Amino acid sequence: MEPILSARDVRVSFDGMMVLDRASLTLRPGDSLAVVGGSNSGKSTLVRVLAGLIRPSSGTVLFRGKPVRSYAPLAVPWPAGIGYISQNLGLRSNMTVLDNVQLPLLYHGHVPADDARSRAYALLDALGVTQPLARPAALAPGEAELVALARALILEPHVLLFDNPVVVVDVECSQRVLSLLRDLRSRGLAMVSATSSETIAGIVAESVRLLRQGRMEEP
Amino acid sequence: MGYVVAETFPHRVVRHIGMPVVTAGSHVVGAIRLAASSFREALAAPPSAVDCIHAIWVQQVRFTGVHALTIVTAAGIITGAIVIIQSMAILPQVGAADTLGKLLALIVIREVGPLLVAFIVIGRSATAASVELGTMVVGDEIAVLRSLGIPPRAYVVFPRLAGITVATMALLIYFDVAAILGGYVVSFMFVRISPSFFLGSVAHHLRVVDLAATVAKGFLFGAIISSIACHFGLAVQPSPTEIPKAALRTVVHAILLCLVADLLITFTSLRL
Repeated sequence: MEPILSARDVRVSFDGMMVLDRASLTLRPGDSLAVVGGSNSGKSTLVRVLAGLIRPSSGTVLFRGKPVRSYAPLAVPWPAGIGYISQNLGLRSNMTVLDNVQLPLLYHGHVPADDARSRAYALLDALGVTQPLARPAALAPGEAELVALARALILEPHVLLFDNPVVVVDVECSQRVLSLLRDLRSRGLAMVSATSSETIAGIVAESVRLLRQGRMEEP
Repeated sequence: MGYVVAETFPHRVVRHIGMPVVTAGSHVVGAIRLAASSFREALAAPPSAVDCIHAIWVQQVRFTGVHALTIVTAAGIITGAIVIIQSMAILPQVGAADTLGKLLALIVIREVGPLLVAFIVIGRSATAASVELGTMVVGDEIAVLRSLGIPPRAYVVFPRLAGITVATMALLIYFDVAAILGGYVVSFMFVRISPSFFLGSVAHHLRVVDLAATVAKGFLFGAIISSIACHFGLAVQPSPTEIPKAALRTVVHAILLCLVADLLITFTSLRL
């Protein structure tokens, strides 16, 4: 099977400090990889590079054989290429949960407004989010993470990049989330999770790579 | 073998004055580039994005314009009244009535009004916009928008630029009306002149070029304030302690640039 996402010899340095050093990985449809590392190991940077948010100093990141940075923000295909969940979640605080989730569909006009709303409701319902009309600030951290997950999934990505997926060990939500992710992976969703917890890595991923001071190691 | 060259007084002057000017200049260029690219990206946005961008524009106009009406109206009435009271204190009572309208037109509508409105918009909206955008950077909202294929310059920056600019122009009109009202009330209390005489006097001393300059100031001040606020907001480094610094830089640069723009417009309009 052809790789859907691959990184080769990716280097990232900020102000002369090497944050990622020759990181390489290959992801095929349905794969799930966890990148495990401590603080400042470069795992969030790796996820951002894979999402096309940081341009590597050297090396290449290919999505379906094309450089990720060629994904101009104005020309996003649908279903989308890569879904990204930030460690800080990045939910728009002055919008409701529902508006946060349906925003990408409405902005790009992939579906009519009524359809976007019903898709958002369905996804939130599947993840067990019970307050679609609340503001993100009113939610518990676990529930806010579910909203960020729903927003990343609304464009039906082929690759999901999850920075610090704490929700999978949440007593209330973990079963629903893992069941949904399993279902999506069986339909070809590839997933990369960055975490500092080996427990979480074991739950969300089939393969694990360690990241130490910007260098990837086999476990 | 190296030589150590002692820094002379001119060198020190250039270093102390030149560097801040160069830094400020680079921020001005950055703000102009941001405004231009946000306009370009908004034009390239899909038709479906118009509703999303429009919703933010409406929020911005409401915050900058509608919510500031009370303070702008009060400032206008008080400023108009102060100018008339001061004028009457130095003008002889006989023959002063005709001069009052002229002073109001010259001082308030042409000069003080646009600057006061600009300062109010800087204090309320520019600081809020730069803090909001800085918070969006620190909270990864900007990064996530990009990952969703939503260009932040089109979706976040453009509606704020357009909203603050339109609202500033509207507030300037409100301010002028309020200042004329305040000036008239005080004039009536002291010299009992009729509304038609007072308004006629104001209108008589306002040239078309003055009104055009006032409108130009409203537009330019709004554009300067909003682009500077967005520039510093988006330039925040990912640390919460950087956000107040962005607000401070926004206020300082916006005030200075509005004063420079005011000087240029006033100079140009007086030569026409």
